Amino acid sequence: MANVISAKQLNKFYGDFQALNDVSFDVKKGSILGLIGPNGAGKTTLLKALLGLTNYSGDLKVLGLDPHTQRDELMKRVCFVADVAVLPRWIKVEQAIEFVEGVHPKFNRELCEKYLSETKIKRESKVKSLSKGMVAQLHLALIMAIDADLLILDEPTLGLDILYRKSFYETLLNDYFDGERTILITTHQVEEIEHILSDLVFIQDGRIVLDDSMEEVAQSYFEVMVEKEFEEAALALKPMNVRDVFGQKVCLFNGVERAQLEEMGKVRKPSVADLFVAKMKGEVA
Amino acid sequence: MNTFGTLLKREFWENKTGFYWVPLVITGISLFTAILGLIIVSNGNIETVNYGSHDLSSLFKLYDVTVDNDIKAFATQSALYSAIYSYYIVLGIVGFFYCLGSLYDDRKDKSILFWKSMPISDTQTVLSKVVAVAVIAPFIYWLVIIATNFVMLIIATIFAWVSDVNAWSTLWANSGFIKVSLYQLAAIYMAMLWAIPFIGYLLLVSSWTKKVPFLVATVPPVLVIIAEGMIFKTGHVLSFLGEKLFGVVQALMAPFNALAREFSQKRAEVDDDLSFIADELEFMSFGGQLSDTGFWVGIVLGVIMIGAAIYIRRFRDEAF
Repeated sequence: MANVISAKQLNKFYGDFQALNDVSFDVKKGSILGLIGPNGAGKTTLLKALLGLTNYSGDLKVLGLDPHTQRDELMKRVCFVADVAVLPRWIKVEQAIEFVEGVHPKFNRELCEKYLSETKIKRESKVKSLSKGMVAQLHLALIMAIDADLLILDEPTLGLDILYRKSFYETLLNDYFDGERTILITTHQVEEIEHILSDLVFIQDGRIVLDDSMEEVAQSYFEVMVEKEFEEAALALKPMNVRDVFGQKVCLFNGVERAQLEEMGKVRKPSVADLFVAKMKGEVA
Repeated sequence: MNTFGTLLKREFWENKTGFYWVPLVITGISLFTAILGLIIVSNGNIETVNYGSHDLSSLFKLYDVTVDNDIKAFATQSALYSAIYSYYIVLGIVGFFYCLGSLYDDRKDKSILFWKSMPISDTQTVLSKVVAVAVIAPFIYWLVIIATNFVMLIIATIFAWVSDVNAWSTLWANSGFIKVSLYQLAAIYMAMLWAIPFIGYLLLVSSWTKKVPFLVATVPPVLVIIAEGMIFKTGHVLSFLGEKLFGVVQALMAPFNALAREFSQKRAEVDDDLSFIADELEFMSFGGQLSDTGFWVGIVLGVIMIGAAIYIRRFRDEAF
């Protein structure tokens, strides 16, 4: 399948600081990619490069277009939510809908109204009178009503309560995602999105430290709850990470045969959060 | 879907106060003072003057039968026309702050990321601001001006009835209402053309500055003028700016000049003493302004600065 995003050796400097360091990755059509990294890792810079909001060196194609020079063309097919709080404060809900309807050829008003009818947002309210959660709901309702080929969400649920976060991801997966669209999400709340992701990219200090599909991750990373008597044997296999749970060692392995690990204790798929922590530690060490 | 129309609507929504409510407030004040003036003066002694001041409340003087009809016509027309000055001054102030904020405020509150997530080119965005301030806002102000003038004439008509004077022959027939309204429309747009370099400069500052656009826009020109005066003992920058500002004034004065000339020509047939009016108030006509080099230099500079504002808007790294 065609690549929606294709990045080769992207570099970006802010003065002496290197925000992106030889970043190369591909995103296939129809995938839901989680871009995970600590603060200051380069996530935002990477998204800005993808959206044509910053320049960079290297080769980058989004939907076959160069985001920096063909931004106007690109924005017809890409939608993004940069931060939930960026709707203009003076605008009324009705005006925001009318605006998007007026400028976006792929906006579906009925769909937007349907999303909004599930909220308590009133049409005549101004954005500044809405709560933070409502602003996010409005923004997401506007964006999800656009039939885009690529949707980029940067911390879409930051500051929202758990009920809304859950329903947002459910809507995203059930109503919005249709297998044709591609979604790229960054978030700190990894555990909430890991079940919807198809692909995973970790970024740290401007470099990609993991780039795999969730299936590949499930096949090559294992977490083992090691029985006491096998502790030394387990440590000899050089786990990526070891943590103590109820006095037992939990070891995270990469590239070790599952059968071999099963002899030492209960084997399971590591959570993305645990994998992330292990990867970040490993990179620092 | 109509992208540019939607962008203009957006500007109107955001700036409804300055573009719509402010001129209506001036109207409220003018109508209030006119009515108040009529009530006060009609209770006192009426002193007649030969020809009109720019004060609309002087309309009532028209009913003095001893005053010549040409003078009444000139007084009415110049009074109606002169409404443009106060409205244009306010439009200038509103437009100044509008331009300064138009490409800065959304960067400050980060809503630029919402605007930039839409399929709108930065050229369209910036041009929508230019059109909003130089075409839409003046048109709304003009509509308010002619509506106000119309109400003024109605007030004067009521006063005429009360004073037992024929309102049609003394007032409406003399008012040149349509002619004056068209003069105002022409003047307000001619003035906007003279203002293009200022609009371009303010948009450029608004697009470029990282903080306090007001100071960034005003302090450097003042410093340049002072430095030029001290170092070279010349005032080219000041006279350049003054010439452009004076262009705005000329644009607004030219129709008044035409009215005065018309009047003095009529009077010259009766009494040639009055021809001095046209001589004293000689401003360049629209034709003269359009063939003025300084005018076109201003337009070109304005367009270049608008282009620079678009470029910065498009290619600058935006804060996320």
